[in-house]
Amino acid sequence: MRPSLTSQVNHWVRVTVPGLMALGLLLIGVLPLGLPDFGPIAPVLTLPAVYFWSIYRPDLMPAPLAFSLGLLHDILNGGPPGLMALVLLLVQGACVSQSKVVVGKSFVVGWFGFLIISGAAHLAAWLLACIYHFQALAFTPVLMQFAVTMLLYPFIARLFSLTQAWIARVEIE
Amino acid sequence: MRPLRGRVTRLAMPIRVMAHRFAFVLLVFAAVAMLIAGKADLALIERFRTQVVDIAAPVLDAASHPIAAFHRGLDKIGELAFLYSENQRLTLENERLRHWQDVARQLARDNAQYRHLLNVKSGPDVSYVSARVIGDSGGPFVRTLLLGAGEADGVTKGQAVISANGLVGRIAELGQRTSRVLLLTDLNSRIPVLLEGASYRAILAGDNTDQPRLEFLPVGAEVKPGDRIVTSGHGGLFPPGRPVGVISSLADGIARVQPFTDWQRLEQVSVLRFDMPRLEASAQDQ
Repeated sequence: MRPSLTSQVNHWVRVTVPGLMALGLLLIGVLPLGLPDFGPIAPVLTLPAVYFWSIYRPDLMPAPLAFSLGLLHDILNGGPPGLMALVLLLVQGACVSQSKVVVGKSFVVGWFGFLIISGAAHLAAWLLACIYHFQALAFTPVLMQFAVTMLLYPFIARLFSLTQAWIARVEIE
Repeated sequence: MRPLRGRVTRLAMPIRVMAHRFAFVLLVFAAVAMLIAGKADLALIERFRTQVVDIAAPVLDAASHPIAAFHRGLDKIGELAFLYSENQRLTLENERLRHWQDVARQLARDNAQYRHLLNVKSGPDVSYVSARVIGDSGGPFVRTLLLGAGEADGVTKGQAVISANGLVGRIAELGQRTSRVLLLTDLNSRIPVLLEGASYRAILAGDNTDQPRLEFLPVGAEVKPGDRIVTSGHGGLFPPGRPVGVISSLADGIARVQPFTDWQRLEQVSVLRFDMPRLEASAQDQ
């Protein structure tokens, strides 16, 4: 039996929403927000997106999507091409394989999981950037960026879990 | 049909897992290959990047308008709050500037006379392309801006970008409708400069901090905080005499420069179209 048009549209919407939200967060990161001293420590907002979805709904954050988001981040920010693509890809791989540790646990466990994954991702990005530029880059801004990302995570995760519940509702209907 | 379907799924599952793993490894290789190709400065990668930015430009341009409007609104509120003190400050500044205007007129007259007497060749012509800032690189590794003007608007690679206050950087990547500015604070930025007055030559080298370093100052050069730095025009990329910043600190023999540009308030910048007459003439000869 062919699925009805409505259910096809529903399917299509729920498959694309996480990706589109991540894309929106990515674009917000590129816009000239004009906040004082914010530029160097501006968080990579796609990082929580890739983390959240590959843990709770890995089918909606496949590896090619994580890769594409990372690549677009590199291109729009003018950074080394492929750096964030590689980092987000590794984050996706790590999250999909370790999702059992976090799924079904409290929010704090999810936050702690993000602390570890995000810390490793920032460190990896810094190391890759150092190798790319053949010199030791300042680490303090990376730490600050990490801290900002950690503080923003609860808000972004709340938005995502609402979306996740909405997607689940659409799926049942 | 159920048993067959079950068998197919049992068979298909491992294949799917394998395919996913294979795709993952392939993507990792693709990312590494891109990093290497990017480091090697392949033209292909750059063309790909500029094309993607060109595609994203309308979205960024549209989204940056409300942000700019919001900031202008905030500024208005701030201005209203400080109307009285600001007025006083401007009155004083106006007095000072009037005096400077008289001096400048006098000097311009003298200068024109001397140039005429000495038959000095005038400097290269500079024209401007104004461009809106549509993107701002975040993160600790790069300092760049995206402009909503590109090759179609007459921008070319290497041109200097200035704000109302001073030098911003130079055009590093060029698309049809967009371009990327490498800020003078970026790790890869090197700009030939002069210390105004003393005319010491130096190179202003960015290191991703807010205050770039002065390198290759002549031995024994006397510099002190507060000295003004301007572009030297050496190398023929930038017009000479454009304000860059002031020396802010001297520590361990490293002079750091505080740029005049206010990085937070860059909504509109000018790209300098600047052609060295000599280079143009030699191009015509060929």
